[in-house]
Amino acid sequence: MKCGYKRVISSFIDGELGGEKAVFLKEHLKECAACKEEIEVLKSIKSAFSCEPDYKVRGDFTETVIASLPERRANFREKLDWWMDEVLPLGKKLIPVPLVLTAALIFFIAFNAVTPNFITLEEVLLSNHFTLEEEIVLTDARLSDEIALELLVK
Amino acid sequence: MDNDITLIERAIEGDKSAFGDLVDKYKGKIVGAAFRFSGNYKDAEDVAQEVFLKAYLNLAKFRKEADFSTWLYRITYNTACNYVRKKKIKMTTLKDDIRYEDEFDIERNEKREIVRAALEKLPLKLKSVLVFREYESLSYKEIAGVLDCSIGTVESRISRAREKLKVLLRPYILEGEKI
Ligand SMILES: [Zn+2]
Repeated sequence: MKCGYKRVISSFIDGELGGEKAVFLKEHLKECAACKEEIEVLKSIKSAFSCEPDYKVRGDFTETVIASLPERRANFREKLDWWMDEVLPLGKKLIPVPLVLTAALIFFIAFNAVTPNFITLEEVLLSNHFTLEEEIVLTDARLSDEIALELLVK
Repeated sequence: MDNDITLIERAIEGDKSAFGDLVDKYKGKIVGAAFRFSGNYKDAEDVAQEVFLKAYLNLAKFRKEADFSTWLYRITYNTACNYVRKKKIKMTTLKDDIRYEDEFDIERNEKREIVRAALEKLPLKLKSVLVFREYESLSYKEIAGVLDCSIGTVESRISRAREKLKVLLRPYILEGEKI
């Protein structure tokens, strides 16, 4: 067969040839004996397959398959439960440890931040929020002689 | 298909009876296909069992937009190929092995034997497309899905497979009797 329609004919007998191509092939078959014969041969081969008998799958096939399945998936729920019951409570018991450490750290940092630096008397005088006397008492400022004299005058 | 999806979802959660329903639904197809590849009934059931086990273990990987049977066929094809390679199964006589639904006459059995023997001589790539097309009645599109190739590839492989069969079966065709 020299037409080069082999592949198309194979698809054609499977009913897989698209409309336009099928029409084209049918037209061609009217005038090509070789292709007609090819179709007969392929159909003959195709029909030989349908002679295969059906057979029964063993009755206990499904049971055998189910028996072979691992418990892995079935255990997923149990594993989840195990995590909920065993691991999480353990976690709760352990929570205070990092909690205390964290609290201590926060406290330490906060304390350092809040602890006032000694301010100089000049800063006190500039701030004007407090009276000089109050600031001196509050800040435990060391007085220079000048300021001490000033206070004394007041 | 909705029903399949429900069963699959239940099976993923560990519901074995749901998976059993899926096995019941597809075992005919899968054992059948495994039989075509492995060549005998005992191996076919072993292969099919392995297919369902693999399917169970990989259910979560099944993309739900695909057809479940296509997915199973793909596993069957891969499993059967490995099985055949591993065991180097030779063509066995099917007479003692196959279980008939009804009694078939000798003539029909002979035809079956002849085609089967010819099919065994084809390379696996060509044999597989014919198995899916002729025995499992899959469309070209479905075969392309199973083998993960293009429809054009399926088309060309089927054509080449038939070309080879034609040569192998020539003596029978030339005798004038339609096989
Ligand atoms: Zn022609």
